[in-house]
Amino acid sequence: MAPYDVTAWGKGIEVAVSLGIGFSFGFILERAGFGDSRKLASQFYFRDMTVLKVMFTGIVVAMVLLFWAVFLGFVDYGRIFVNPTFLWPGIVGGFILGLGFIVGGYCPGTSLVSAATGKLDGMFFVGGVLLGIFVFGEAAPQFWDFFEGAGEGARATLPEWLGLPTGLVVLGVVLMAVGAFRAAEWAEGLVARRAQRRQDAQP
Amino acid sequence: MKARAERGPAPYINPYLAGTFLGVLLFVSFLVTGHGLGASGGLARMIVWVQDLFVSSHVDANPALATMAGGDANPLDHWLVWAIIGAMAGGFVSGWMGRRLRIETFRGPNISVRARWIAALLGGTLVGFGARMARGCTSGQALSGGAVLSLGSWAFMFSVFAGGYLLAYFVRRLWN
Amino acid sequence: MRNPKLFAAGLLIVMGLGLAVWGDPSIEERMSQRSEELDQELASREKHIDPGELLELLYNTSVDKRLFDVRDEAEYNLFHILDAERVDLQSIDDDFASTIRKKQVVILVSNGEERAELAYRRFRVAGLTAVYILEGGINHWLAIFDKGIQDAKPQRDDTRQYAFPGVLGHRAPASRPPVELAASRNFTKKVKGASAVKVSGGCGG
Repeated sequence: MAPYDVTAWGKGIEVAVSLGIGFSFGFILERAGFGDSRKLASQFYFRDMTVLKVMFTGIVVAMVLLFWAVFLGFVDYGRIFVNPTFLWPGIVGGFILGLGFIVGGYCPGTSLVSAATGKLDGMFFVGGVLLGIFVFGEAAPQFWDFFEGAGEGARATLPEWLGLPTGLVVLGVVLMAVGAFRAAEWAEGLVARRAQRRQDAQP
Repeated sequence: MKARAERGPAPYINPYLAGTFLGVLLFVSFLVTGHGLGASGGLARMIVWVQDLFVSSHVDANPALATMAGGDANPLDHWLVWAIIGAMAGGFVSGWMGRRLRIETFRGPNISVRARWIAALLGGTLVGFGARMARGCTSGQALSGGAVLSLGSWAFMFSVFAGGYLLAYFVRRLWN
Repeated sequence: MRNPKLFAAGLLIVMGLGLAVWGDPSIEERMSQRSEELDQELASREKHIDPGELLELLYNTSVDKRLFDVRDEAEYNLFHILDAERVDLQSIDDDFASTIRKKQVVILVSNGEERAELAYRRFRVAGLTAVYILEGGINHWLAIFDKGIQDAKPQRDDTRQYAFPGVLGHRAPASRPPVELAASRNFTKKVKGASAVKVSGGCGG
């Protein structure tokens, strides 16, 4: 039953699978335009909501496929890696990452893709990421209790937290995503019309 | 018919289509390996590998680093490392196919190249630090963790958007 | 198709609706879906621990553990190992399993092994991995620590093979034998206290 343990098939296969999955990931990101920091940053000015569209579509498609496979008995959800929940480090770290995202214009994955296509800002960003990782590694023992403490790294899922059946939560996320897409396109249209009016108003 | 070199970069694909491909890839990854995607973890392992070359005992003593490279453990022997190598290759090939391979600096219309480089470095530092603290980035936590309905991942995701949107107005010079 | 986005959104909503209506697989359904895998785990005997190992664990304060006794209440009152918690098989569900802390080790006990193995399956499909079964159950435990038959053979059968003059609960000497008796047992340690299947992922490492 899936998930399979790819490590059991030998190192060569494990490396090949990881390379292949990584390759496809980088390929898709670049196809979508995520190697361009201007496009990524536009998300936060409501000009180009591609980030939201790609991310939420990806999450929702994977989620629906996965849980159908689980419910039908093809996949053992217990063996799927569910990121352990360290609530406050996740929230604080996420916020800092968000700040860095709008300043630098990338996230780690997209910066690698950008650097791979020759973009210098992407390369500087990757350099920054390495620096930030290094700084964290050295500073972490200072706030180790905060980092390790909150939530005990439990496997906490949304359905458990909400006390709702998984199927209902999946439906809820799908509806939320579709709603977000509608809102995103409305926002894009609004910003575009406003920019158009500003252009028309210029002599 | 325009000569090949004059055609200019190809357009990006529809975001919903890209998202669908991403979702299917993620699903396949779960099926075959039990885990999703990732990026910052691979970079973290590379950093700690370098550190381990020079200050190995310091690495062993630091709990944040020891989990990856403590003792004899080879931090590079991990799927995240191969995945990011693959990701760079994939990005390169896609860029090549889309005629987007070019040494250049993407920046907003109102700042200089130098300023953009500094901003990229600074932003990257914040992102690297935040990713380590959150134990993931948008690929590993938001995308993969989000799909499996991990509570921490969803909290992380909303946090990232919050941080970006809150600061966006103050750094609008960078992009507009 | 006229509007692919509408179609795709509709498709996703329908699939989500389908999941909501179909309903999460119940514990029983999950047990039957994973029956092959669980049968294998039990047949390998890797999760059946010797009474000597359990005895050592009971005295080992650095291991965070829960000892669950899935026998009937009457048998539990008659005799049980000190610190064993009585639990009904049916009450082992996802909610109950989520009260077990991440690093806690769960040991299951019945008269023999049958009911403990059912409890094992339930805990496993509820997501726990550090779950073990007392080999031979209470029957075996008492044969060794009460009657002193060192070469007693563990049996799967859940029929009660012991008797007490009165209802002793945890007050029988065999409820907490001295830890030195574990040294005379020959066994391989099986409890790892960590996940059996280690899948690491995510960006954090």
